[in-house]
Amino acid sequence: MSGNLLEVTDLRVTFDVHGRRVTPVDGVSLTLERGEALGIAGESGSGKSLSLKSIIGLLPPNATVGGDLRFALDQESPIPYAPADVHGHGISIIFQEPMTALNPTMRVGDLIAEGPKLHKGMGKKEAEERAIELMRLVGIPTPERRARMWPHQLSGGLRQRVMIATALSVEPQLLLCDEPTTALDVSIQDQILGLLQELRTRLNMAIIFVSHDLAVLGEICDRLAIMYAGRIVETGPVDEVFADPQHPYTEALMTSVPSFGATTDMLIGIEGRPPDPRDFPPGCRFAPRCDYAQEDCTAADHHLASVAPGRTTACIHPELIEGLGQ
Amino acid sequence: MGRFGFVGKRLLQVIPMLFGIVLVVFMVLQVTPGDPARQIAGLRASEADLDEVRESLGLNDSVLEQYGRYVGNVLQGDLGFSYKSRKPVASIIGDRIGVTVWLMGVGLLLVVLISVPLGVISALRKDRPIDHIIRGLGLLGMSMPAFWTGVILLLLVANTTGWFPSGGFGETFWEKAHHIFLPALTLAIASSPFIIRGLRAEMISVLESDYISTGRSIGVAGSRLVRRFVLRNAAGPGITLVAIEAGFLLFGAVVIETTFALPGLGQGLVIAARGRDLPSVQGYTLLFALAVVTIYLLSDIITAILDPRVEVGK
Ligand SMILES: Nc1ncnc2c1ncn2[C@@H]1O[C@H](COP(=O)(O)OP(=O)(O)OP(=O)(O)O)[C@@H](O)[C@H]1O
Ligand code: SF4
Ligand SMILES: [Mg+2]
Repeated sequence: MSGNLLEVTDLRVTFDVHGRRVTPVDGVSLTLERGEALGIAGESGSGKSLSLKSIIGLLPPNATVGGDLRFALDQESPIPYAPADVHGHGISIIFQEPMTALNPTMRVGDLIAEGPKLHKGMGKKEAEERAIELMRLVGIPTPERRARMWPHQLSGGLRQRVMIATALSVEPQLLLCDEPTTALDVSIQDQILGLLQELRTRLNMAIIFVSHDLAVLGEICDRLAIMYAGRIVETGPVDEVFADPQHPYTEALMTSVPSFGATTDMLIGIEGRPPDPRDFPPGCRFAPRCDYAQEDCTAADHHLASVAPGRTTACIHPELIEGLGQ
Repeated sequence: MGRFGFVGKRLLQVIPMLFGIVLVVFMVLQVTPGDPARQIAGLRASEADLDEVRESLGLNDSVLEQYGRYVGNVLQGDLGFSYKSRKPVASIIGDRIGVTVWLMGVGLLLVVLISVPLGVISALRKDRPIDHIIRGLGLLGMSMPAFWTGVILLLLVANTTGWFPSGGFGETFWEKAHHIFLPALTLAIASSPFIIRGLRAEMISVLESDYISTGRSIGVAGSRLVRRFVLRNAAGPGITLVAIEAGFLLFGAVVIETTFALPGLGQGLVIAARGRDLPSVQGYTLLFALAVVTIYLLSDIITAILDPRVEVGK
């Protein structure tokens, strides 16, 4: 079965902050094929987590969601859904902090068994066995013993594996990952990334992987979406985007990462701060920090234009980008 | 947690505290102006009479000796004799303690019955109309002093309906329950607002935690979410809240027993203090302090049992 699994059109997340409306996610559109891995990169505050939370319906109660969400749960083509509908059905999520994401007063085996009990109609015994099976699947040694443990008795890496097993317990077709390795030691990070890779192929699961870390996204993902100030500014296959960024922000992100050719003393970061959602600049929101900015940029409407097959950019002057190392 | 485990360690911590309490209570006698002998022997007593009384009370001994004797007596349950009635303080307390235990017990029960549902609903319906109503009622309850609430209940409920007695205590279980209801309700109205407010805040912080998102993401919702993901996490802090409130409740009992003419410890303390009956005052104070320490200790132990991060058994 091919075709789209998820279609997000013009997603908006609005908060009412002391009578003022702020829209930290402001018109995000993306599509995802079955089994595909999409990476979302962007600076802190660009709206990555809020986008994921809107897709799975975990926004705080004071948020309003706009736009169109479609998901193909056991269907040929995606159909509209209300975010809360997907709880336990086809979409699940893993978070950055494995300590706070696990219920401290629930044995980890019981947590993993919740999904099978609720959605597969399994009895206690059967669900417990399923939980142990899932723990084995995510590479937790001696799962029978560890299922009886509390979260605080496990290391960070094992806790994140428990979180993954919990997410898998509802047999998702789409797994949302919100920086799942950021809080872990480097060596553990690689193990978790490897595990996610393996599970993805084994279970033919689609993944949306959010990270600051372009190198991590390069390892895991097929396609990349770059987010800036509540909008997606560039999309394309990972290799192509890395080889030839079509948006000045993507280029700036890459030069700020040492593994992308720049030596450590060239590690400049991106000058200036990302804009505050309460005060987004007009036109192209990157203009105040952009090296290539032209006069017409501050009047440009946001629009992802196709620049090559499978590639889009929101920059109206992509031809100006010099590229890296040339 | 060491060799003694959590409970053992907490018990060991309590022992020096108890000695401290006894010391403070003992000091009350030392620092209170006035001559106990004169109080016992009466205004017209001769100097020789006074000396005799002092000798019999051991007041001529050094303070240290007196303290040693006091600790020894207290450990044996001997709290001395009332200056007024000449009866042993321990037996006076024994006669009165039942009333206060009833008042506290029923009061706490009502506090829990009122506060837990209201706190939980308020948190689950945060910023909705029902939450505003509960918070408004809480504010009202908080701003009414206990004696005032008591008087209002007496005038509006007891006197108009005749369903409840307006004072005193009974003999049988049902008589007691009947007599204690309005005073306990007064106590509950005074303390519930604090518990509701604390529980609401605690529940809201639990509801905003990541593990609630995890639970919801896999489809746990409604009462199952509250039961399996919220309550046990909010219970520990909730119990601590109730325990702290129970400490205050004890002192609220002083006011309420007086309002409702209940022959309990609170009323006894007021009578003893008015009569400058120091041994009785000491006895009551000691008992109140002990009760507070015990309540806190129990709450700590229950909280620890509920929290898997504390290894209670080891
Ligand atoms: N509950 C909220 N109320 C108001 N504003 C919010 C709320 N939650 C998030 N925001 C705002 O939305 C913006 C985007 O938040 P989001 O968490 O999606 O960022 P992010 O891209 O995931 O950043 P990070 O990399 O730091 O995780 C932030 O600037 C934040 O101020
Ligand atoms: S539109 Fe203009 S300001 Fe925006 S990224 Fe392109 S060149 Fe820079
Ligand atoms: Mg985030």
